[in-house]
Amino acid sequence: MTGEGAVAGSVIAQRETAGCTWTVPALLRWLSGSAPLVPALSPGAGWRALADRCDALRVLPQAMLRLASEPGSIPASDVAEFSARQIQATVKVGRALHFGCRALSSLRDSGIAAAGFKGIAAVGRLHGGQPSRGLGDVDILVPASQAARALDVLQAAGYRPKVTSLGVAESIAFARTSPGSAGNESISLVTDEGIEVDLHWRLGAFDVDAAVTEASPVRVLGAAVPLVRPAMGLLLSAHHALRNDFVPDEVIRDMLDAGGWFRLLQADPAEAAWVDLEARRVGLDAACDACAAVLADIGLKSGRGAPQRGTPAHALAELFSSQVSRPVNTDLVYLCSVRPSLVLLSGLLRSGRGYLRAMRAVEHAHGESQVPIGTRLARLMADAWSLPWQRWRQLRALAAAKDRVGSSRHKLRDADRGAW
Amino acid sequence: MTPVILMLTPVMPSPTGGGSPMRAAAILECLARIGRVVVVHLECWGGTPEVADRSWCRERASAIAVVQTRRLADMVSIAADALAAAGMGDRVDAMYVFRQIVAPSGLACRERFAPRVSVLDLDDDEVQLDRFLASLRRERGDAEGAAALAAGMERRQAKRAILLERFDRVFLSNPADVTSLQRAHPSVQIGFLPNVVARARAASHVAIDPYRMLFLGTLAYLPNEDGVAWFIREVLPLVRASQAGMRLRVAGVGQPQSLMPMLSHDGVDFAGEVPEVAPEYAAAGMLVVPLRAGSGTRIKILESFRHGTAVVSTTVGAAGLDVADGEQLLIADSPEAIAQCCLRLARDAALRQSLAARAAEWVERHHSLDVMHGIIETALRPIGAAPE
Repeated sequence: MTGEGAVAGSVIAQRETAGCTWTVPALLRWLSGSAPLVPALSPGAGWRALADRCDALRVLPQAMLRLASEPGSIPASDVAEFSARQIQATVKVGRALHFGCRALSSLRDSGIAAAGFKGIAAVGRLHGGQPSRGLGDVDILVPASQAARALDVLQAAGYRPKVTSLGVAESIAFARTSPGSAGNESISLVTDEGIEVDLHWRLGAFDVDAAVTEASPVRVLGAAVPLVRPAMGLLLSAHHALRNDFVPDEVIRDMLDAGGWFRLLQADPAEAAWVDLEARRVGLDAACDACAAVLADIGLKSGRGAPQRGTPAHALAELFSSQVSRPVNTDLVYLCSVRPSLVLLSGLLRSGRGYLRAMRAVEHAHGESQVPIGTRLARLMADAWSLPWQRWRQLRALAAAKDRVGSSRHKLRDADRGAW
Repeated sequence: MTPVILMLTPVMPSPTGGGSPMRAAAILECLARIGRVVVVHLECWGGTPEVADRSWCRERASAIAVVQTRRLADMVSIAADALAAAGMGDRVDAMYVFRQIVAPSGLACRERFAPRVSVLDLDDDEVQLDRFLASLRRERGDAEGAAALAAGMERRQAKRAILLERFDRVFLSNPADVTSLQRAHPSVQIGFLPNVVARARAASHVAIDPYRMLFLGTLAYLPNEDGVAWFIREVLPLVRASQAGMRLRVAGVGQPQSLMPMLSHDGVDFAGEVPEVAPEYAAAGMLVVPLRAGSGTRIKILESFRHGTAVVSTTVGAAGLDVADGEQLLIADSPEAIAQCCLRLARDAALRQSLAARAAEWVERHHSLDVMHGIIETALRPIGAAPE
């Protein structure tokens, strides 16, 4: 319960209060260029409100680019303010990329194979290496056998652990037993400038060693850095969407990226075929198909057929759509599967109060709300009572898909574990 | 009798090209209104670039002599030959020495021809410039070059102190330089001679591309080289990530090795030497002046004002010009702020037009040829002016 699956419904709530109807699907259509902005900008719902909304969704750079490309969307009197805000957003992303590239260079110089993935990979492969995609942090992948050394190298280069109240070993141990981690193992590092770089060495059932080996150099901000292959880019977008429970406000960036990855793969049938194989192997086929279905709904072609009614992919796509108007309490997923509870229990049995302390420390470092466990349980029971049965079906599909990814068939080798 | 004026210059006067040839050209234009001018071009800064308009100089000067570096020792006799060839014998009423580097030759001519008035036009404060250049070189890791410049600075300062006393009048193009130099040399008559640019002919057949950012200048000049590299490295990525289609066009003489790889970056178009600047200005949405070091004033800003092209400059770039941010141009110093200014200009045609209109009016009032002519005429008053 590190908050990976926590519902971030506040943005939607604010939007509804303001009477604005820029839903995530409408924004997806607009940002991906498949349709104009609905409703169009008007004096009552000007570009500032749209920018605020997109900022909250972490797609501000994309939105600003889109606005800039639409003649007349910015009144002449607002051009200076608009340009300033756009540059601020670009600088923020540029700074994160700069430190991400620097971290990758430090690892390379120390002889450690590494690859950028998620945001930085999308920037490199889908945005021409320009800081025109929203980016909160930079994710770097290293083989598990190299993780300890990679951490040393990055710490020596000025990247320090984000969770200060826990030791590095405690943070890593907690990551292994956190139900929200979904089979991921990583540590968040920050620079003195506040830029976050997440070092990962395990990603669900993915073969991390292969992902790093198959990475290739791509120019980001003018410098060539190793980034995961496009097929991995798509799978990791689907993986992230799944980890975030297909909550529209949380996964809009994943959907935009997925649209880009699908476009790239359509031009490379071999890579697209590899995606199908690998998605099945790592248990992400339903999530990938669900992404394709969401994109099809907004008018983007993915090259994949629509999922059949009753399939997990269909249920996940429905979950996305149903949460547009009303987000679900994703803690309910824990009622659909025993696996998270077992993971949680094993953590508690191993470390007792230390586990709860680690959970609070991690939640605090990530700025997540620390609702008392009693309140959380009471809310869970109330939501469980009132949830329509169709939603239960969607949540069961979500829990099953998460279980498949979390129950890694690509176990860490003992030698890799020993590296810590 | 029409006064005879001897003009010594390290650059061939040319109304286009770099800042120094343009200032020399404006001076020649003014001197030609006062008397008959014999131009002696001492090639201590190299020969005349291809882009220079040689016929322009010939039309205004009674004679032109070019002194190659290996013949600098014979410079006085070459000047005498040029005067004789123009039918002026040995008579020189006034001498105008452009830039400190040729001032020693000016003193030699003064001994031989004994003009009634001798003027030294320093253009910019070269000692101050060396200070900036040394810091630039240090920043670029060239400690040896920086040290060599610093060592030469003292020598140049001492030499300048000796030279200044021997001229009747000294000019600089930046009022701040005038003040600081006057403080250091209270007995010398030091004055402000602004850079000027003649009215431009519009290239009406060229359509404006608001997303085109133009850099125009001598690329072999270190402050320009550094400014362009800095802009490409720090500003251009921000601009291009924010507005698809924004491009930097770099035009100018010189191809410094350190800059060439950067000129092939995405979003950069390298034009090199251009025969005419009017179409460049007409097609650009803005001129960018991303200088981080320099002295004197940027004649390219004035030229851009004349051509009606909006300008984004750093504070250093706009130094010496009595302009204000948001009035005649936009001034910004951080990469973010410069990028914002570029985007504003690209997106706001009304802003471009209003800045250009105010800039055109301002440049006509403060930096027209008439203003320069008035100042030079006053300085040369003892020799009397020729009838127009």
